[in-house]
Amino acid sequence: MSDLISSDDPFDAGDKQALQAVLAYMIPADEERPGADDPLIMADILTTARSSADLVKAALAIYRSTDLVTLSQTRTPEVNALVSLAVQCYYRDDRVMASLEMEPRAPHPQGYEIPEGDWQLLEPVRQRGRHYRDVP
Amino acid sequence: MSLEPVDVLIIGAGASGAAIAYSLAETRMQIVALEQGGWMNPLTYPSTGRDWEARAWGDMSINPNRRGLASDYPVNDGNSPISVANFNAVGGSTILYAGHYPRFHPSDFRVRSLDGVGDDWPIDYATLEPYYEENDRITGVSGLTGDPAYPPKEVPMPPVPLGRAGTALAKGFNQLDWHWWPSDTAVATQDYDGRAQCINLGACLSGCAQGAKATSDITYWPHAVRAGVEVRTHARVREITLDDAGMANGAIYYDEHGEEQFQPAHVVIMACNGVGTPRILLNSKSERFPDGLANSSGLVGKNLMFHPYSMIRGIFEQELDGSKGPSVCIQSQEFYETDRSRGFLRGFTYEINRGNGPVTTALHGMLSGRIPWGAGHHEGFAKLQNRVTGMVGICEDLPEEHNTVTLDNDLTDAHGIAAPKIDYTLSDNSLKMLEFSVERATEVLRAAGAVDVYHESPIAVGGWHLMGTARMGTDPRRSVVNEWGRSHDVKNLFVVDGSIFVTSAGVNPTRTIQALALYVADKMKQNLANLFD
Ligand SMILES: Cc1cc2nc3c(=O)[nH]c(=O)nc-3n(C[C@H](O)[C@H](O)[C@H](O)COP(=O)(O)OP(=O)(O)OC[C@H]3O[C@@H](n4cnc5c(N)ncnc54)[C@H](O)[C@@H]3O)c2cc1C
Ligand code: SF4
Repeated sequence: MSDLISSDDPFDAGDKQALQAVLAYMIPADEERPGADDPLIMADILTTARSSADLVKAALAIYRSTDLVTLSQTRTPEVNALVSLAVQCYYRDDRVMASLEMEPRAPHPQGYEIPEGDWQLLEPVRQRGRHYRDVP
Repeated sequence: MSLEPVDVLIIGAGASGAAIAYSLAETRMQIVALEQGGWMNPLTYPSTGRDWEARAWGDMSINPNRRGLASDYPVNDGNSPISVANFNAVGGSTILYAGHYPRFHPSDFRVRSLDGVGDDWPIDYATLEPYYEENDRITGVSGLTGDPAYPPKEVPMPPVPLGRAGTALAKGFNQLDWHWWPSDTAVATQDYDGRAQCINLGACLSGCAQGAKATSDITYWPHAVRAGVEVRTHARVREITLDDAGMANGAIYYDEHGEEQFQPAHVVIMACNGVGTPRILLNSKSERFPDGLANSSGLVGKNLMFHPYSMIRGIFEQELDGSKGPSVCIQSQEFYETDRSRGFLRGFTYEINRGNGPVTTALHGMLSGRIPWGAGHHEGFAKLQNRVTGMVGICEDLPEEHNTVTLDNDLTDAHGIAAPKIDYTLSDNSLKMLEFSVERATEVLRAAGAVDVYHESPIAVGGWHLMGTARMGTDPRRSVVNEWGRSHDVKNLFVVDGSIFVTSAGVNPTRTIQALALYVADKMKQNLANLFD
């Protein structure tokens, strides 16, 4: 990201290359949406990852010493942290949200509509009557 | 440094501290509340940003150890299957609460008489009823009158919408002929007392930017402050001090600059919640009380109750609401009252809590293996997106002395005050109740049309109800405070938070906590002339 001061960047070129490979495998692109290795999404991931760089590096170390399939089957805090990071940045990307038919915006201030529903559904509950105990 | 004495010093500005401050304000006494956090700015809440789901695991996490904000204190809950959840600011844990706002039932105050376990409360439902009503009016409760699981009660605003998830589950309950009803909620469904109505943001558990959720910083506190109560923020209390006569005479705290201060007071009220209050009482040792203040019974910090929660989710083929809508919806109390044939005593409430946003859907799906890495990822995600809903089973926790809050020998907060240590085990009764709640919930989800059902039991991060650690009672050997919240040992020391609960009921506690705070305030007002007799 352009706002990263390079000396603050905890990830070296090797880390970034490994991360790109992992992300491309984890959430690949298809005809409707980019993959998690898309440059914009990956930039978001790298920025967000700065506070958990040690965990991400540890996950990448597992990949380096094994392979992508093994990494995908590993459930350690490091790998879980990497998955969490990837999905939180991936599923807030405008293009991804559009592909899910979601408006690319924060919930507030517009909010959302949901159906009120039919309160007649309570009729059988009303008919069953009182449902609590008397006390001495 | 010693400050000018005040009449009443409230420690903690959360749900209960706000309610008692509001009620006592009319006495025109000089009242100060010391709060370790600050005032929240709703415009900074996660739902105002695109990263709203992620922030619920970061700076607005429910877990203080994960959050680690300056206002937080660490909690050693390594020896508990359930970790503590809270928030430390003006408004306290209501900042993050879901706003499920049920009352206790009459039977909840008579647990020993009815079922031979726990203890009876020294007060009953009828005693608390007018305070429930007053609290409902100030808080602004939404719901529907006529719930057959309760004695008649009025609710000021209409219920939150059923939505698609609520409709599906309601049909499931009807198919099994089980009780359900729209939840009483602390969510405004109409503009109420200067607060805007709910607009279905779905981010209630990380702060309501709309102001629809009744957090005590925007319900009670503005009224109390206008009536002259001072809220002193970023003030972390270390201990309550005693005079030579054995009366509380104030509190030592660290101010916003980290400077030690002494605030003298004629009356001290503890409102730091079921973990924070025993922590400070235990930390207030003296020659008179070597085991902690007001602890001649030895029960300060004992009988911790959490409410073990089960979470049961169903995957549906039809599209539901996803994260849209408040997390509150409908509830069922089909299994609330004791039925010995179930193999456990007491009971639980099911609370239906809609669905998840895309990030949470993807994360839960990937960590549970339902959404694969690689080629099948998008297909796996599509099967879950807006298609998951379900409920939690909130199980009554019975008081057991071995479930405790004590002071940690090593861990401290940023001011060097010992952190609370939690030792807690799930009882056999709780384990059976949890299991039963999962089995019955699976039936109702299937009846509602779920094609797959999964669960987590107990919810490991679900220690959000903190109760029982300074229980009320008439016998000073068996309780910490009397039937109106006054310490048996120190006659000008009161406790008003969830610590004073005798039993936990199978419902969320905050409506009862706040009604109790109003009740204690009223007793204080009635007895002002001889408050310390
Ligand atoms: C994620 C989550 C969801 C929840 N959902 C629900 C729900 O749906 N329904 C429900 O009824 N309840 C719910 N709760 C619980 C509810 O928030 C609490 O029951 C309620 O807030 C407790 O009120 P209290 O006054 O006892 O304590 P709190 O509201 O926790 O307030 C205690 C205050 O004391 C302050 N304090 C503590 N120690 C010190 C000190 N040493 N010095 C100065 N200040 C101090 C704290 O900073 C805090 O502000 C939820 C809680 C959480 C965390
Ligand atoms: S759903 Fe309603 S109560 Fe919840 S955060 Fe949104 S506006 Fe507030």
